[in-house]
Amino acid sequence: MNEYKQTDFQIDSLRILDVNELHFTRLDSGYLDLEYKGNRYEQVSLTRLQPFYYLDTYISVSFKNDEDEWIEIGVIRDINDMSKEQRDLCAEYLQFRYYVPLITKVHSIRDNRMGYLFIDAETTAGRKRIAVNDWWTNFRVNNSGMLTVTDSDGNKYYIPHPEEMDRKSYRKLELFM
Amino acid sequence: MKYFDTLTQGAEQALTDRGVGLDSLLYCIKCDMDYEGMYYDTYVVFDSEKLYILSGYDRQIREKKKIRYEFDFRDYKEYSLSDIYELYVDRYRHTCRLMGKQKGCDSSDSDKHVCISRFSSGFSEKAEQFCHRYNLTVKKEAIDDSMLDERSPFCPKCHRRYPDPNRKYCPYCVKRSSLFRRLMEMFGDFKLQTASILIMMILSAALGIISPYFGTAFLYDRVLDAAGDFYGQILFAVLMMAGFRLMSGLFSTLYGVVFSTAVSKVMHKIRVKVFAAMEKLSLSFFTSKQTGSLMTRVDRDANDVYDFFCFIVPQGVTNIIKMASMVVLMYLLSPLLATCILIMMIMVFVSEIFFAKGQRRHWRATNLAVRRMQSNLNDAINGHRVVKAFAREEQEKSRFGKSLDRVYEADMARSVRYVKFDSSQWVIYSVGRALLIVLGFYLVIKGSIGIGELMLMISYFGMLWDPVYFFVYAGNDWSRCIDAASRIFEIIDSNPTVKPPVTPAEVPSEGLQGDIVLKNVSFEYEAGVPVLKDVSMNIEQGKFYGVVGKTGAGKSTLINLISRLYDPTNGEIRIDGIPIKDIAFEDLRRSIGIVSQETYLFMGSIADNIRYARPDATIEEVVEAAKNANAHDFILKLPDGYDTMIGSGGVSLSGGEKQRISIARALIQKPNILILDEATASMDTRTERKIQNAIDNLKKGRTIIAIAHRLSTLRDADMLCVIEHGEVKETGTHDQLIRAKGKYFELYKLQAEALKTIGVE
Repeated sequence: MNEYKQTDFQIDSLRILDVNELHFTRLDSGYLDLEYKGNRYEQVSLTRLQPFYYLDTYISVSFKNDEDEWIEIGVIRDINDMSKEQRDLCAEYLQFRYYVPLITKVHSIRDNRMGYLFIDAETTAGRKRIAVNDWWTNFRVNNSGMLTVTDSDGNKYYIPHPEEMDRKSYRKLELFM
Repeated sequence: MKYFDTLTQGAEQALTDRGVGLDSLLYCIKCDMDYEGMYYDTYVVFDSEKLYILSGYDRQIREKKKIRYEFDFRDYKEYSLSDIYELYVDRYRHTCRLMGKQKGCDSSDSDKHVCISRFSSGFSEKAEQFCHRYNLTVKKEAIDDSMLDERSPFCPKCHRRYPDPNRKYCPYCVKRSSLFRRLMEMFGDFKLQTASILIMMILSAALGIISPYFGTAFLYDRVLDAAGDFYGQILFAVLMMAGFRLMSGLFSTLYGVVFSTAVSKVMHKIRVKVFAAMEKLSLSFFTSKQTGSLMTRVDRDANDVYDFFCFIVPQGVTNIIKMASMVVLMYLLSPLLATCILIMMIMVFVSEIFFAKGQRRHWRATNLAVRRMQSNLNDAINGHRVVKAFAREEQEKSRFGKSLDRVYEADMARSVRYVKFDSSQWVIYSVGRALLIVLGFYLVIKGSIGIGELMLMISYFGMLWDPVYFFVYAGNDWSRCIDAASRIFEIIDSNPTVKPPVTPAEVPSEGLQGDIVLKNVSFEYEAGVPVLKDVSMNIEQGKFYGVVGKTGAGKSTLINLISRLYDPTNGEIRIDGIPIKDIAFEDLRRSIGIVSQETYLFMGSIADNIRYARPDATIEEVVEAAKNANAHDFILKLPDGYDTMIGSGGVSLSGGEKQRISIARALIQKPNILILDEATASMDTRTERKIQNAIDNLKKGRTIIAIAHRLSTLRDADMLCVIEHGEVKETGTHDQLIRAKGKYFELYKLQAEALKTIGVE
């Protein structure tokens, strides 16, 4: 059972987890259970603290308590410090959790249709026609240069390095970046 | 099967082939991914016996005017409803899984979780609703689809969901021509203005075409030529020229008057139309949009649409007439020269089109850079206190400098390109004109054209450039107008999510009395994230009801539902036995006074702000309300008392002062139901105490619902209710809840301990 309890007035601080004490188990359903320092946690969640910059480092581990609140157990500094089996398990979970289709090629962009923009794009998940409403809000370039596109349904698509795309695709995209 | 997605013909066939009876199916959703994250179509459907999962790929085949789907089958599974006893949505960052719970093999086994399908997170709302209905079907409980009936989420043409369920417009199917048609329908409102502008423009164009004739063909060929019918009548020629100039000047003055009158009317009507449409929309519309973007719609977009009526349509029509008449006249004068001019014009037009296309890219880059620079500026000015507190002036200066550099670079790139192109165009124009003159003189010498006619041709050649440039750049203006119109129509077409009743219930003239009943009320702002879950409570008329709970527990949401700023996703609210949905907005709002955490005061005097909800209130009533709200004393200390101007450019008030004015604003309404949402949170204890006493005075005959973090504020409540994670955990009086030693007791103890740490017992 999930046993961790924090007292009401305890001052919270960063708890770095001892990777040698962590033991994750993957269930058939895809969920992870964890044993840490004699405590057992069911269906724990792994969260990247800075998902755009650190993929394997600074991973928060949390669980849901009886009152349905997510409680952080601690932070893994680097999953590469774990055993290969444990590292692969965490990496696979994180990959699944943060999965997002990447746009690899832009066939066409049609602008100004009732306030929508249509991108006919090739993604890592297959070809997709993406409808974007209010592109100024829904095209975002972060500090690392990654372009995030959010469509009218709220789905996200990433382009990690737009300038590394083929010239034609980049020329179509740069008008909106 | 009405909800949520529809099966394509191919999918229906695939299910029928596997013995599934389509008529008995209850609900269906279409998921868009396989487990590896590749786009695939998975239909999840169920009837009262089984859950069916069909995966494959819907191929769209276009046949003339129809779209047909073929289904490439991949996999099929089915479970009995007793096997998968519960469905739920498992959310990840950008994708979700539809999960099922299976009972363990024996009682000692824990439940098994099975992944049914995977989908992009944008479909989570319908998936949550689907799961809810599946779970009710398993439990054999009644399903209420009335909330879904109000929406028709699919485009009848392509069967895709509308991106915005409150606006029945499918961006996939809408044609730009239909937007143009709608704009033309709006045209009906401004026909007089546009027609008057058009007439003035045509008249001025006609004058423009005729007037060169008197200075060229008429003067040279008919007045100065000995064979001319007006030979020697120079005074007449000069008078004609001066007369036309004068008429042209008069027309341009008249045009200016007509135009400026029309412009003001058109702008006024468009802005009022957009603003009125916006005001009828519900609170959710405003919270889902940025304030800046809404202001742009009323201001800049309205301006762009006005361009359509006042510039694009009249100038387009005038330029077509102008160009056509000049071409005809030129052909009448000299077909050879006219053909040469026409070829040259077409060449210039094509090259200008290519240039403009490239230049549009540069304009876009400049606009983007300017918008980024403005955002930086806005950030730095609004956050100037933080900037100064952390001494980051240099950093902000460099950030703003960089954004200015980008504007400069984009501007330069565009200007350099323009200058280069313009110079080359000038060379081509000059060479073309020279060739035309050479050819013209050749024709004059040959006697096939008069010298005056040649001069007239050259004048027309110069005058043709304006319409050519207009049509080159009209595409840009046109796109901008259509874009702005689409945004304006978005507002005009949107339906309020909270709709007024068709036939409102009768409410006594003294207003609602305040007997409030909530029955199994649930609510979610964002699909799948319930804020209130199955809340039931009974607030008796004339009682003081306190709502307690941690931040984010759903207390303010409860208030939003009672005042009908939102409608519950499930359940019902009744006031005085009348369903809240049947009460007219005016009746409801005049019976309820709200003082919320966020106070907003409008530009104007303090007295105007207090009498905002009752503009007819007398000054005595205003002062009475201010006294009750403990605001009178500080108002008197202000330079102009109750006439002190507040808001932009006026006196700035502290948080507590604003809060007291907002309490007075609610009190002046004399509402039977008074809602206080953390109304005294930003006040010191002494002021809070005073207001508390004022509220105590008002209690008689009023229903008061108060939310407060400080439990001391609610010590006199007749009934207290503890909300946690959107659920009512406890109800009772202060003494009852303390004795029960539950959640309220915990909160009370926590606050008492906190006071102890500062030496207060």
